[in-house]
Amino acid sequence: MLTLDRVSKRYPHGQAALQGVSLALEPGSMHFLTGHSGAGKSTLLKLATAIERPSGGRVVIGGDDITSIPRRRIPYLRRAIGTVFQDHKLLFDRTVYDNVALALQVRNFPRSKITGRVQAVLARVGLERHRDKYPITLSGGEQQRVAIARALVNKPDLLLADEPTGNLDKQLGDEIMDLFYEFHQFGMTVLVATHDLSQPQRLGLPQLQLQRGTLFS
Amino acid sequence: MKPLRVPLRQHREILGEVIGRLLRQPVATLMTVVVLAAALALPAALLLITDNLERLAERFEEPGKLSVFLVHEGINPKALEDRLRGLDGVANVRYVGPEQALEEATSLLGLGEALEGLPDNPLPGSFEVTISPQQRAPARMAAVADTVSAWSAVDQVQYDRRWVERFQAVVGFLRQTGGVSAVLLGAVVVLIIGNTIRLAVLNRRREIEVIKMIGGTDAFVRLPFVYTGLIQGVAGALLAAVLVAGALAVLNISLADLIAHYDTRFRLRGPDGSYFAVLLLVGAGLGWLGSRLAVGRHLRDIEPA
Repeated sequence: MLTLDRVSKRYPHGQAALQGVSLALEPGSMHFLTGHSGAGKSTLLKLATAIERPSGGRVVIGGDDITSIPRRRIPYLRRAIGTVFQDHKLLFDRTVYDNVALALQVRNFPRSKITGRVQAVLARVGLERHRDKYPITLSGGEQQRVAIARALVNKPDLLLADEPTGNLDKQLGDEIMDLFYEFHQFGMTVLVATHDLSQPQRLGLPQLQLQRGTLFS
Repeated sequence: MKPLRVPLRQHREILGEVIGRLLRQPVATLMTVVVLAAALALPAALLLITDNLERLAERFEEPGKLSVFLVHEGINPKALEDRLRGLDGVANVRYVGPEQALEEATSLLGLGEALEGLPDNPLPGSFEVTISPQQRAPARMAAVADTVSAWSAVDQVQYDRRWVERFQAVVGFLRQTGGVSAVLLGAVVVLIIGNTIRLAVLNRRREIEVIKMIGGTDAFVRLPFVYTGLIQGVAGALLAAVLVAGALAVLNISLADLIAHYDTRFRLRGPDGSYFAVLLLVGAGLGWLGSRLAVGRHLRDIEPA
């Protein structure tokens, strides 16, 4: 699903963020990407969504080599990937419903089809009662669920999450991780970057460990 | 056929959203529209005024008379008179012989004593040619004068056309001024809209980042801004049209009295359908251009990070 082949990334005027990283995520698998902050976890996820481009090596997603994907094709790549961030990147001037619906609007979905799918995905993450609220009125865990709903509403093949529980307490964090685990059990490929080393053990899932830009599995 | 990057249905939805957004900030929207209207109304009004002045120039009654002065010797007034009457557009011809000219000069101008002292009558014979009213356009008068002055028996032809030409030169200058101001103020409209859109883009930076993150194309991000510019341009043009039409109605009332002295049938011509259409198209086009330039410049800079 996601393949990195000897990928390196060097930021201008900075040290190497990734060095010779190779990995292959099988379709339907779930992995944790662990490591200290600054180990290169975010960089790796950004390469998969073409926010950053590798300095060397190849990045392949679902059979498509996206190493030097042209700018105009990037939106279509991102539609096939659900992305969740630590700061969830919600829009605070829109309701929960509108935040989630946006992911379908950018794909030119007709309004009639949007309603049903947004309702379904909000029910899936347990937020159906909050659909007309504004994100600011929700708790941190609920806000993160809105972001997850937005990432899922497109029915992506690959779900990437960057420190999704970073701002949450242990119990809420576990609930969010359990949610990802459910999606994995439904066949979605999931990669979760976290510095919380208890999660791989708790769920019995493999971890990919990054240390100063180099991968150990 | 190439499919639309954004389907028509979605255009409608985005248009509705944009209008809603503009109406939720009525003061800011109104101020932009008023400034745009002022910038559009000035050249539009100048254009209308020069158009009316040109029509006025055409309608002015020309003096309509040519004085054809003859050479002193070897002329046959009767033959010349027939020849003049045969010309296209000539309504009437009156011969003034040298003696009659002397009499008129003596009685009308009080030159009797000065002229009596001369051994010979210095005045030539002449024809007073009246051109029919339909043929009094400056170009037509000039054509008749040119034809006649080429005849061997004719010394010179005079008619009072200079003030008409001057008037037309002034109108031409006004029209050029209108053209130059139209270009300058058109650029102003593009800059105003470009600037409001630039601010809107920067205000919604986060939203643009998120849309790009979840797979929105450049066209999708661009569309609401382009519509915003387009709508503001059209609204500015509409208000400009109202301003011009209003100003013209007021002018018509105050000018009616003045104009009555010259030509009772003359009225300032107000903006007609095609004038409105052009004004709206120009407003829409400049709005589109301004927003397109502004969004195009800033869109690439905003990327998810």
